[in-house]
Amino acid sequence: MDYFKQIFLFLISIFVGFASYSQTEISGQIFDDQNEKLSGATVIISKDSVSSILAYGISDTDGKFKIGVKTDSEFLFLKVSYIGFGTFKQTVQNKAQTLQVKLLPSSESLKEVIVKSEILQQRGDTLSFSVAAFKDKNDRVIADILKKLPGINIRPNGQIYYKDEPIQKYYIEGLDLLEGRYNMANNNLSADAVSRVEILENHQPVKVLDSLEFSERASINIKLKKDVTVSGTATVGMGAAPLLWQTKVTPMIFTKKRQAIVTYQSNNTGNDVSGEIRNFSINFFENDFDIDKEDWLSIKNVLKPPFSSERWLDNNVHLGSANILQRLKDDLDLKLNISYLNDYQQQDGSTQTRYFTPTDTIDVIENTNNDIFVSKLEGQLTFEKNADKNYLKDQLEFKGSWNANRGFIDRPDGQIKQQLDNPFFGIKNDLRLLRTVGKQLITFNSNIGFTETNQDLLVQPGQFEAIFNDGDSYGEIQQQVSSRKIYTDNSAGFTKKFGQFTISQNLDFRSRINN
Amino acid sequence: MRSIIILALLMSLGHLKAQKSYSYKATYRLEYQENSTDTNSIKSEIGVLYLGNDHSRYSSLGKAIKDSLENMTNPETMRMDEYNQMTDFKYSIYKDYKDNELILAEKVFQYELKYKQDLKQIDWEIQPENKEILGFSVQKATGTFAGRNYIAWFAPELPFSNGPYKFSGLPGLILEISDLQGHYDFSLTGFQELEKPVDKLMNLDSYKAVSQQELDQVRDDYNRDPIGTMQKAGIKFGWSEEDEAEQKKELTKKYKKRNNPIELHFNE
Repeated sequence: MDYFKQIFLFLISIFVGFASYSQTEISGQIFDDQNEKLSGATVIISKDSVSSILAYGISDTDGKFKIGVKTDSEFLFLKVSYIGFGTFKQTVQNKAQTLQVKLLPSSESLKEVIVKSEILQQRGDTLSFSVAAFKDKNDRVIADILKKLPGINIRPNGQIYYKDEPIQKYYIEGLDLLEGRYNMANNNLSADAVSRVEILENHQPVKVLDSLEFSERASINIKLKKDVTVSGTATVGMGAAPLLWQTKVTPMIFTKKRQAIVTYQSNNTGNDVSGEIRNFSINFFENDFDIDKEDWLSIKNVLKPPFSSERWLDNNVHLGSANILQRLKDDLDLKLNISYLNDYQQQDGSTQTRYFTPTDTIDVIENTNNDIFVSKLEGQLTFEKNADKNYLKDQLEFKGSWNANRGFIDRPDGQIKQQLDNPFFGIKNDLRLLRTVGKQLITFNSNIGFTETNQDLLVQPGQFEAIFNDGDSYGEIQQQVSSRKIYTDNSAGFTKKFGQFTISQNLDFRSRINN
Repeated sequence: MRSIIILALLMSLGHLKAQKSYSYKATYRLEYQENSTDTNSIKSEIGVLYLGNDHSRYSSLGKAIKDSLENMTNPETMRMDEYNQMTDFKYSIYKDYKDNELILAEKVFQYELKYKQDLKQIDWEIQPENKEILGFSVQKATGTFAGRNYIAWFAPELPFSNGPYKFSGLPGLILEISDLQGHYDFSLTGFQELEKPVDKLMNLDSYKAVSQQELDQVRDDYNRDPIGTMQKAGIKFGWSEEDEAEQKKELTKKYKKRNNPIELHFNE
């Protein structure tokens, strides 16, 4: 046996000895059909048309290439390619030679590929994540955990996206306490109190519609560790010279039948707490049929710096909010949400604009000082019944704000004072009713609302003299906008299911009075 | 006779167009480690390589978007901080096979600079390994460039001796290339023929020719102290000295974390 091995090794060494051949040099020049030299063409040499590359070259500025090949093969396979031309293939003898290669145009296209970004694949199911698996010691509140879950993305304003779609509902133990204002729970509920986070894909929050209307959106449900949870966060901070303070007290309680979150926050450290009560609810109705505040008039604003507001915002904010949910019966909830925000912000800005003219450089410097007073009260009373056969939701909402702005612009050619009063009041009631009758679904929507705003802007001295005062300067100009809006939008419809199809019919009555 | 002339004209037009435009686009995902000592500092960007017959242009997607905004008939300006957020790589690399050179052009703050280099930067060694990437059969090659050892996978069926960044010189487009430490990792995410050939986007005549050392120095100076560079250019900031000191400190901290450029030393 050893004897054979030795012979075998001997034979191998002979072959290795033979394998060290001298190098063959293959050179050449590449032209196109017009006899133009082609630079950047690839030349590949292999043993035959299927084996791997032995040597290669790229044609230079003059279309020339020179390739050294070391192989025992008697023949070499030469392949010349250039984009837009047909590939030149030829088998040549393994000896030094110079070739002239002419390529012919070809319209043959190259294969195209595109990679789609990876998407989590799981449909119509509940994904449940254990908080313990994601939590580390730096995570305080549940938002810190949510950020880490695959597919979830929290925008800077706090809005939660799942697979690039905003989430629909933010439940705590299956109850929708905060509607769209989930920031308040997300940023204050201690991560230690939560056992699991559930992502409900394709979630239809209205039970009646469950088999009738497909939903693309996902909802999130926070599962707590205990049946009765008392949680929350409290931080108090002070700093001196200049006096800075930051307070945030957010007690909360969760039981099977009752949930409540109360918060009081105040600071002058530039933390814009109004984000805590921002509403991310998805609006079913058009904007005209809502009581959102519209600002018709404004003073000249300063440009927002592109970095975090805590570095530049000079504020003095107080925010109070109370949210209470009581489950009256199975499927029957009563909710009250009230919040009040008071803020005083000071803004100083200066812009320097430099004009380069052929002869001169002109600098224009403008300083802006703004005082902004915000006072906002919002409330919502909601009654919701979400049963298998019928759905009723009635929501009464009011919004009031008493905002005032003072602006002062200092330019080399004069000073401008601005004073804006900007009060607003709005109230609305939204009713939504769904009921199944046999295999049909009857829907009824009724939205009624009223808004009023009297905006008043005073500018001293008067501007745009050419338009308003025949070019003469004048003391002041006042602009007033009063707007009252009453709207009502009522619709009734029914939906019927025929096998795989659903047919909907709608009757809509809407009217709007603006003045 | 007339039709022949028209035909000849058309042909010559076609020829001209083919020479001055890009007809293919390769898209790469670049993953790079900004801080060589922190494996958590891995960031990701998209790079686009526009390919013409004997020339190409590579840049980050952010840079390409900025250029195309500026090249519109009604140019749209982009704020500097928006642009800074879009890309960490603000250069474009033009490879020219006719002149056998590559040009890296970059606008550092307001200074338009460029340098030229030989197209051939790497002595590649072809390795026997094969695999498949996105349906293309690719072959392995290894080489050293600017202080890093690279493994590249190229596709002979895509006859472009090209790749992302300054990489080129293989008989086929580079679909994946990564240094052995994995600090810079490019991989192809798309290869498409452009429906309409894209014309050369930029005129580099206004760019000042410098050496690579000079350009790297200017870029480094700017990254270390952008405020100082701006002040030297005559821009005044209306802030207090403390604010300025604090901003500078912040920027220095950021600068120190960016310690891992793709080119560790110059190829002489």
